[in-house]
Amino acid sequence: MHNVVSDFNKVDQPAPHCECTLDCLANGTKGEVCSVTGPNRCRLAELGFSRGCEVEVARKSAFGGPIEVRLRSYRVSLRVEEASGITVRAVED
Amino acid sequence: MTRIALVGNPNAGKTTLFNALTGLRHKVGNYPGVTVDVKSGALRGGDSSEIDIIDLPGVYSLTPHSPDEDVAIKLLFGIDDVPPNFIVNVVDASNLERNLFLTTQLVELGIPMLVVLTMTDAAARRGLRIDERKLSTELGVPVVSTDAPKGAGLQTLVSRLQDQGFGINISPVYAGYSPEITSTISEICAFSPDISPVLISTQLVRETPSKWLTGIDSELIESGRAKLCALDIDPSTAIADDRYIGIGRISARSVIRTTAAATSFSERIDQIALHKVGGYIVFLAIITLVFHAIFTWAQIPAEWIKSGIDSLGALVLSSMPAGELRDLLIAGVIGGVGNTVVFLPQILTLLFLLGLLEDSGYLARGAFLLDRFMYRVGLHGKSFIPMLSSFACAVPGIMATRTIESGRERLVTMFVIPLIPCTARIPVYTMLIAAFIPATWRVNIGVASLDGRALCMVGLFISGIAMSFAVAAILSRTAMKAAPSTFMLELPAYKFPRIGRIMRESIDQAWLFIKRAGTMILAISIALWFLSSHPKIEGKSPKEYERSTYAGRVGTLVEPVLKPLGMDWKIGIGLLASVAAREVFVAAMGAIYNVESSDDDDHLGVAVGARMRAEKNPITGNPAYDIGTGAALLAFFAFAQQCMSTFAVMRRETNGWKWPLLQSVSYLMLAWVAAFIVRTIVMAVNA
Repeated sequence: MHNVVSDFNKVDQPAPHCECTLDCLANGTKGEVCSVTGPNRCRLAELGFSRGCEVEVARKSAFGGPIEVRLRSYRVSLRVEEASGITVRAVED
Repeated sequence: MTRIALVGNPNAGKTTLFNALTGLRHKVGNYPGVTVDVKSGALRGGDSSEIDIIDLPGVYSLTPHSPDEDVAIKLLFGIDDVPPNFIVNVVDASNLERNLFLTTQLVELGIPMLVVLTMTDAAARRGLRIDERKLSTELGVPVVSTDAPKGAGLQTLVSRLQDQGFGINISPVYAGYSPEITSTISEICAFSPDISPVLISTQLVRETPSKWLTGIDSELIESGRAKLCALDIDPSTAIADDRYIGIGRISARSVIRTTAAATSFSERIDQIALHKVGGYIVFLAIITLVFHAIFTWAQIPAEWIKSGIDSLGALVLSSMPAGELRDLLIAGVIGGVGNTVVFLPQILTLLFLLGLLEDSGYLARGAFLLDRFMYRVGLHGKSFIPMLSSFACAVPGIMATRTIESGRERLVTMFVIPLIPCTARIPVYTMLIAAFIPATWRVNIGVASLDGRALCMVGLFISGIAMSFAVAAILSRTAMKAAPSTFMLELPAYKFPRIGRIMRESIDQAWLFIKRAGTMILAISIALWFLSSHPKIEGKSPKEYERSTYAGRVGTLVEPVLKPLGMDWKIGIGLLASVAAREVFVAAMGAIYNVESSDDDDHLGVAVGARMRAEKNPITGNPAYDIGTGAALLAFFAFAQQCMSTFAVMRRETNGWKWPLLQSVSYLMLAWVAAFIVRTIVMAVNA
């Protein structure tokens, strides 16, 4: 049973090439969410940071403050600590 | 009775719709989560006893992450009460996908529902149009568009609600979980058939199930979670991932892209307002303007009120025969109430400007700009908003902390709020500064010569703010140490503030302040006036028996604690009275002194400060208080938490006696120590 399930998972998820975390993306660049980790991942996933979703860093603030992210036609601000739990694959525009 | 629950994401336009449907004027926040209590009202235009509309706090999903989400979600699942008969789900059309996350969960609840699309104009500006019919087919429930502020589509909605034109989707749109998740949920369902599968899915995603969960063994959920984790599936994200796949499909079929999205008006403002350098300059300019308005512009009408009260006092003094009744009128009524009413222009200005900032959408930008700094001292960017409103009063400030999701940061914010200089301290500060700080005192820094009294006021404000940050930093590094929490802030679109509504709300709140001045302050000054002149002793002047009056006995009891601070039993009485509200101190001191001044009419009862300054030590004949006493009192008021209303709201918000008691006791000790140090320094400098 266990093997069958993990095989299913393998088919479902094509091996992603996740290059960096969201906080490493430069201002104005886009990425595609690969995975969300950290204590807050549940809320982040509910807010739309789901696997495969396209996100764009809209604004990075001074002093390492919050990062504003554009996704699913809205904007939300995250702390660097949370953004660093989101791994993304950079997307060419 | 039919109960209709209004459910939606924060800022989706729920409260505006609620007001339009019920005709009530309720507060609408342009800051996520202003609706903290459950409000209800009858649907207008119908028989009022038939349909009750409940406005729930905004939620992003049916999984609770904060206290106000708990309230809404428990009500929807019918945890402590029967679930609502119908659901009206308010969906922000300009942010469809994220809003549909909640919608698809609500559909699965199996309660008849109706989707109301709001902000379709904002969506149109972004080049998005939503096909209501297709969306309705996809969801299996009716979809209606409205523009509540303009009233468009409202009549259709009202008649639909009256006819109960809701829909129910018996085969919920969304059942697209992966086989592992589906089997886990159905295994748990098999144990408790009464529990809705959506409740299980919203609890599976939590690290620990909600405490209120009943009718199901929480261990079942925990073992289900463990099983999924063993399969390398993280339920906290996988369940949402799967749901969003379905939402993507619904959205692709019902959204029509008309034009490419243009840079919005809000985004253009934010290029300045949130600029790495410019943003902070704008922020400082706005805050400076707010305080400038309070301390200079609002002074002009305050002077008018003050001269009105003074001439009223003079009128009573000259037109009434000397006696107890005149003393009471001057000290208690005109002095006590008048001294508080003088601060009405400042309070109104602060409330109005805070309302403007909130309604325009700027406050959330403040939270964005300040988060890093707040985070360093263990607070949250969102702590900035409750702390700012605490400059008006700590009570609404503490209530406003409910929008902070993290329990620890919320508690730290609530704990430090009483240190923020509230408006109730302003009358006390003004009176004490006028009484004890010489008007001629100037501080010379280089070429600048600053007014000592103004400097004192600024110093008191800064020390209150600085102490609140210091206490927050200490608490979050020691007693309340925990992992840093979440920060998820949505910046609402800027809009032109609704001046009429803000004025109405500020006047409502200021009226509460006046009512308090008119009732509590009046009652306390009359009571104190009585207590400090009774029991009467025949053939003796009040001066000789003052310590044996009721007030004198109580004051003498607390005097030993206050003696090191240069205070006597009379100030002790004033401090005890300030438990009712800090500004009561001024009226209380007036009531206590006036008892003795009945034989000399040099001072109007309203000039409490002058009366304090003139107080003589009965034994030595020297002035009873020196500048050290004044400085100690100021320091005491800056840090003490003696306010009864703050205590009560802390007890309610923390659901126990521990935090309010700890707060009051520790701040009283802090205030005492600070007063002692300040007095020692002032005395040493003045010697």
